Amino acid sequence: MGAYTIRRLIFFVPVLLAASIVTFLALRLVPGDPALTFLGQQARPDEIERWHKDHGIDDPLVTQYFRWLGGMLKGDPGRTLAGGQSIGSEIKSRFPVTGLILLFSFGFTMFFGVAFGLIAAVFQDRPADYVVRVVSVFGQSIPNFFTLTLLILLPAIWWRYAPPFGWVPFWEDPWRAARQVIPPTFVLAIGSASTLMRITRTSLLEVLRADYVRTARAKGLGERLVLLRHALKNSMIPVLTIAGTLIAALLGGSVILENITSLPGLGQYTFSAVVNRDYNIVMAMVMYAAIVVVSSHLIIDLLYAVLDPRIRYR
Amino acid sequence: MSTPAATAPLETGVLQGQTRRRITPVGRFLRFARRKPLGFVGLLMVFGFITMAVVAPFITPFDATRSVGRPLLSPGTEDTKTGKTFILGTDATGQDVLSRVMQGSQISLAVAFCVVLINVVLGTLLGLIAGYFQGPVDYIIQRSGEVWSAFPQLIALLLIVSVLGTPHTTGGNLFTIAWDLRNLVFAFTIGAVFGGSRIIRGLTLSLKQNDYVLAARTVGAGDARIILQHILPNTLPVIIVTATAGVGAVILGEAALSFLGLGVAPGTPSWGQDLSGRNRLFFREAWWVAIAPGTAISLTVLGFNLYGDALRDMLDPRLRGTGRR
Repeated sequence: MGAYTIRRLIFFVPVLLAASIVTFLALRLVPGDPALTFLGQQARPDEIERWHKDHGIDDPLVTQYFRWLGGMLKGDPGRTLAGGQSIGSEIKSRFPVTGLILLFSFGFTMFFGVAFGLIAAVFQDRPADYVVRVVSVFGQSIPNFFTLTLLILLPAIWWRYAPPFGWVPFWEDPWRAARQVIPPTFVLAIGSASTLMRITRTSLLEVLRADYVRTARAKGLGERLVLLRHALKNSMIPVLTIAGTLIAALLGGSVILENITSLPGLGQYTFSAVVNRDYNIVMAMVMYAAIVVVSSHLIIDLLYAVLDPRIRYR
Repeated sequence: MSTPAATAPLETGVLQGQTRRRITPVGRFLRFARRKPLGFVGLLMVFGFITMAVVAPFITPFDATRSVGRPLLSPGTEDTKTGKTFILGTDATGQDVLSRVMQGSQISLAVAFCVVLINVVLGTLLGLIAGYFQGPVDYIIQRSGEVWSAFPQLIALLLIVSVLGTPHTTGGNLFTIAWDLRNLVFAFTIGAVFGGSRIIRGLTLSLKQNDYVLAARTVGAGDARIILQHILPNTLPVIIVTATAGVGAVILGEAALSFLGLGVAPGTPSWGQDLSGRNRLFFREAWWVAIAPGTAISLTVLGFNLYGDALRDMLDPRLRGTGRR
């Protein structure tokens, strides 16, 4: 498994390189001069030229790309086009916010997805099953920006209460930071938990019909042991696969969540960079997203082997 | 518009190779309604949505893009000057909320159907080629899909729209809207094509092993003929199911992008857009401005999801466990 992990880690390199090259080229092929965006349309030609020189945009594309790559290898994603601030330090201060959002929303997704999937499968075709299924179809259909808007709107209408949004760094006041993050991440998780619940239910129903479950029951194991030890564990493989794709979805969701609740995380940073066409930030954020997604896929592949010892990676 | 999807469940018998009883289309329709009541409700919702999008320009009570009354009138208020009633109230600029919601369905429909249509054609083609020929072609298609899937969808969409620019549309019929929004259509297409092709590829790999493929080859059929005549028809149920689920997903994606202000140009009636921008400042006083478009998106996507689930159950039991993205 060690060798496999290393090989998969090596495979990160071509994927990330390809993603960075595609993004880089796409950003440079955009019609319009970025200098005009940041200097204003009435900028004089000599100003524009100096701006190009300052930001290294007058060099050949290959030189520019390798300069960026060299910086990245040293862990420096460069400086913003807008004011020349360090992108690295901005990421460092914003990461805890998004990290907390991803952690909570993914935690809620896994917990509610698996728990309700289990309930629905155990009570198949009974009222509990129908309720869970209908709720999950609704959960998958309502867009997260609408539910998040309602989260802010409804308390304001019903109780004239506005949730206090305003980020405090986690380590200064963990309780207050968690209180900021828990309600919106819970709401964000509704959609992904609904998806996961459906997978859990179908996968578990299949496993519950397997011979070894009947054997486990026949030899007199308690129902709880049969469910949790024998059935649930074996039904987790497709659940994990979908959970992997949900991480990417939650990453997109964090952009929307931070936009609505004005939590100062990386999602907000990405969004404003895209709107302002600050390409150095966009490059850094695409890399961040790619790394999160690719490594979560790797972790999930490794978890397969933990869940099912028959799966061996060589 | 709805023909491929609407007739789909009715062909179940044919596709599953059962003996074919002669039943009228109406009879099949009723049978679908009886067996899958929720799916039938979904179908009705889908049908209502499509009808609304097609006839919206003719039946909106007011001009959706102009201020027609005092701002933030609550639902059902009568304008004292003109004596006209605003059933769903007015928004921050005095535009009629009902008209905007009706008109907004056009953008959702135009984008979603174009994207799904292109995806079905391209995704199926790529999947068939990759699965049938395997080898280097397959490798290239698969790896490109993997690189692409390293981006979270929303961030990839943001990137594409920022590169291509935010599209403007001045309305009109569905076709001109779709053409105006081609950047958006393109952005959604890139992402979804690979996902669709992967499913078709897997299916092609297994269909290829069937004896009838061997038989066709024995009697001298070429690759093109085998793919089109023997493999493609067997992938149809899966194509129909993924396409139906895809419509809902694209509607959600387009709304999210417009919500962030990067979908359609400001001022255009669009469900995602109406939940954002200047309207947000007034949601606390005027909840109806938020509830109306939000409910419209939710119900539309719910319709596609319910119908899609019923289709999945009837057309392709194998797909039940795989979920959707």
